[in-house]
Amino acid sequence: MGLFIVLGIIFVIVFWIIAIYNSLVTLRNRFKNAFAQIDVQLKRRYDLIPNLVEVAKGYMAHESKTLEAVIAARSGAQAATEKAAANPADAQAMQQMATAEAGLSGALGRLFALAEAYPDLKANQNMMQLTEELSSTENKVAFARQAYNDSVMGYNTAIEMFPNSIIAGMGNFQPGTLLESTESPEERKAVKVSFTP
Amino acid sequence: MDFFAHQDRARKQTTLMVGLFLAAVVCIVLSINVVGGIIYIMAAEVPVSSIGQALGAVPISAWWVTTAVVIGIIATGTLSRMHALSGGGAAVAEMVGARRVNRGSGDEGERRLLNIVEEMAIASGISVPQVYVMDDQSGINAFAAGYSPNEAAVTVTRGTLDALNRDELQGVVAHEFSHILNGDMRLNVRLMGVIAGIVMIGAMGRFAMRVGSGGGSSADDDNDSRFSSQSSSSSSSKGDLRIFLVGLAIWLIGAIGVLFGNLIKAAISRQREFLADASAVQFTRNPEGIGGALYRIGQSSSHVHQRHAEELSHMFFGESVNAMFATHPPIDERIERVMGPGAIHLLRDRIKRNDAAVEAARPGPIVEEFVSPLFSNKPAVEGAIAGFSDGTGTNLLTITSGAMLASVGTLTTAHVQEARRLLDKIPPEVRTALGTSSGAKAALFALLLGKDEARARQLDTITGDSGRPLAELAVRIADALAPLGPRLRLPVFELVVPALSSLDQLQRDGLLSVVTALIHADNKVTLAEFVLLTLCHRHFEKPVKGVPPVKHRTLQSAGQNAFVVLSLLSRASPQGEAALPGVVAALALGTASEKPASFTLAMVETALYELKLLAPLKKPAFIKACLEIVMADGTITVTEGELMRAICAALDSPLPPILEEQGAVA
Repeated sequence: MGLFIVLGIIFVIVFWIIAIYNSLVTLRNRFKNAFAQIDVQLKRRYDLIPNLVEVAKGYMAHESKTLEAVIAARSGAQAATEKAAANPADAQAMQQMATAEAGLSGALGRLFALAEAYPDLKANQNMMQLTEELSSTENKVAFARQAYNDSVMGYNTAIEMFPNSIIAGMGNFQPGTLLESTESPEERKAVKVSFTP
Repeated sequence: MDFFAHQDRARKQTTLMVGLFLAAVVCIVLSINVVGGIIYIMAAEVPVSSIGQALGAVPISAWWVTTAVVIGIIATGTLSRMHALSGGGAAVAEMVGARRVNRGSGDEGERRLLNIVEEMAIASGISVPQVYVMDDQSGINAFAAGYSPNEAAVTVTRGTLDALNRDELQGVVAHEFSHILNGDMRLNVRLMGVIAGIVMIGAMGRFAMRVGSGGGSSADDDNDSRFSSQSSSSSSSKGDLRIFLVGLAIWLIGAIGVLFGNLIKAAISRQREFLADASAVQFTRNPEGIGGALYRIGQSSSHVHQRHAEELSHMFFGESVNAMFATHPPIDERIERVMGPGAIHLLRDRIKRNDAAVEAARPGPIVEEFVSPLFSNKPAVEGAIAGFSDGTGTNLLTITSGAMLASVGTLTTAHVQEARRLLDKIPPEVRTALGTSSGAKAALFALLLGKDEARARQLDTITGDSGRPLAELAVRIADALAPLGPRLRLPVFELVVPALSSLDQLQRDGLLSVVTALIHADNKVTLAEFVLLTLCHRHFEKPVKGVPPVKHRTLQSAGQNAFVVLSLLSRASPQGEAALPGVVAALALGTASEKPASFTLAMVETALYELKLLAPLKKPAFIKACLEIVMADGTITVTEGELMRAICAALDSPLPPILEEQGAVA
C-alpha cells in the first residue's frame, strides 16, 4: 500500500514536470516564431516598394532623385537584412540592418510627403492600394516586433518563476533578449503630412 | 493601471464568477437531492420523526442516482448546445448571413479590413482567421466565433467598415482577437449549455406539476417513472397533489437556477469584455483606436437586427440586443478603463474637431463660410482692431523689455489706478447694462460687431436669436465702446463673464453658437475674434469633470501643435518671425516642417486642444517660449497680450506674472 502511494506521488511529480517543461517549450517556440514574422514582413516590404516606385514614376517624373533614393535605400536594406538573417548572432550585422531600415523608412517618408503635391497620383487606384498595403506592412513589422517582445516577456517570466526556474535550469532554457528600439532619431520622426488649405 | 493589470483583474474576476457559477450548480444538485430524498421517503412510506432519521432512511444509492440524473441532464444540455455551434466560426458567421471576404475583393474597405486582420493576427500571435462581412447591418458591431483559434472567424457589420477609421477598426478587430485567444466562445457555450440543462430541469418540474394537477396526458410516462410510478399506481387524488408539490419544488429550483445562472453568465461576459478591451490595447498599443470605436458606438448604435443576434450577444463587440442582463459593461466605463479618466470628453472634442477638419478639407462654398483663414494677410487683423481703435494704433501698451522684467511680480498703486481709470472710461449706460444677463449678452455681441455689410448680417443673427431690442442694445454698446480703443475689450469681457455664468448650460450653448455665427459672418476670423472665441469656449463650455487626461508627456510629442501656435504668435508679433527659429530650436521640438502659409480656425483650435493635454509641468516651458516670441521686440502690443491670454486660457494654465499685471493695467 505504502509503495503504491509513493509510486503515485512520483507519477504525479513526473507528470507535473513534463507539463511544465512542455509549456516552456511552447513559450519558447512562440517567441521564436514571432521573430521569424518580423523577417517575413520586412521581405514583403521590399517586394512592395518597386511597384510603388513604378506607379509613382508616371506622375512625378521630375522627382526622380527621390525615387532613386528610395530604390537605393531598398537594395541597401535588403542586403543588410540578408546578411543579418544569415547570422542573427552577429550584433554588428543586426545594427547595420537597423540603420539601413531606418534609411529606407526615411526615404519612403520623403516620397509620401512629395506625393502629397500630386493630387492625380494620390487619386490613382493603384497608388491608393499600394499605400494601404505598405502602411499595413509597416504596421505588421511594428506588431511583429511588439508581439516578439511580449512573448519574450511571457517566456522570461515563466522561466524565472518558481518552480519553473528549476526545470528551466535543468532543461537549459536561456532567457530571450528583448528587441531594443532600433529606430534612429530620423525614423522616430513620424512623417507629418500637412495640408495647406 | 496599465493594460496588463486590467487583464489580470478581469481574469481574476472571471475565475471568481466561474467559481460562483459552479457553486450555483452544486446548490441545484443539492436541492434536487433534498427533493429526491423527500420523494423516496414518501414513496417508501417510511415513518420518520426527525431529520437524522430521514437521512438514514434514504439509501446512499438514491443520492447517487439523483445526482447522476441531474448532472446527466445538465451535460445533455451542454452537449446539445455545443453541437449546434460545432461547425466552427465559419458556420456561425454563415448562420447570421454574413459574406466571406476574399483577398481579391475590389472594395477598398474590405481590403483594409483584411490587412488589419492580418496585422492583429501577427500582434496576437495566432493564425489568421476567416473574415466575414454582414452587408445588411448598419450598426457598428463585430463578433468572433470559433472554439479554437484555428477555426475562428471574425465578422464585422457594414456599418463598422463605413463609420470607423483605420485605427478604430483595428481596435475593434483586436478586441475580437482577444475573444478568440482567450477562448471566450468556449467558456460561454459551456455556461449556456449548463443553463440549458437547468432549464430542462425546470421543464421537468412543470411536467410533474401538470401530471399532479391531473392535466398530464399519461401519468406513467417513462420520462417521469421515477417520480410517479409508485404513487400513480395507487392513483388517488392525494397522490396527485404530492406529485404536484414535488413538481412545483423542482420547477422553482430550476427557475431560480436559471435566473442566477443568467445573472452570473452576464457578469462573466462583462468581465470578458473588459479583458478583451485591455487585450486590444496590448495588441495595438493604441488606446485611442478602441476608445474611438467605443465612442462612436455610443453616438450611434451597435444593435444588430438578426434572428441569431441574441444567441451570440456575448460574442459581439458592443451590445447587440437589449437583454434583461447586459452582456457588455456600459460604454462609458469601457472607454474610461481603456483610456483613463476623463477620456470621454477628450474623445468628444477630438472627434468633433476631426469632423470639422474633414469639413474644412472639403472644397465647397458652404465650408468657406464656416472655416476661413484665421488671417491671410495682416491688414485684415489691423483693420478689425482699428474698428475699436481711437486712432493711436495698436501699440498702446509699449513697455521696454527691461522695465517689464523689473516690474514682474510687483503690483504698484500706479497700476491699480490705471486700471480704475480705464474702467471709469466705460460709459455708465454700458456699466449698468453689464449687470444683467441680457445686457451682458448684448455687450458680448457688441465686442464682435463688424462694419457695414457684415454688421447687418450679424445683427440679423442676433435678432433671430434674442430679438430686436437686444440687437439695438448691442449696437449702442458697440458705438459707445468704439472710441475707447482695443484696450478695453478684455476688461469688458471680464465684466461680462460673471453675469453670463449664471445662465444654464443650454443657454450657454446657444450663446456659444451665436458667438461662432457672428465671428463667421464676414468669412474671416481676426485675431481679436479668435481670442474672444477661445475665452468664450473656456468660460461657457460645459465644464469637464475631473482632471483632464495627460496625452503628451513631453513637449516633443505635441511638437507639431506647439509649432503651429508659436508660428501664429510670430505672425502677430513684429520681430517674432525672426525669433521663431531660435525659440523652436531651444525647445528642441524636432519639427522641421514649413511654417503654415495661413492658419485655419480648426487648425489652431486643434493645436491648442492638443497642447491642453500636455503634462502640467511642461506647460510653463511652452508659455515661456510664447513670451519670448512676443517680447522679441521688447514690447507687448494689445493684440499680443490678448493672444497670450487666450493661449493660457486654452491651456488651462495660469497667466505669467508679466501678463497678469498687464491684465490689471489693461
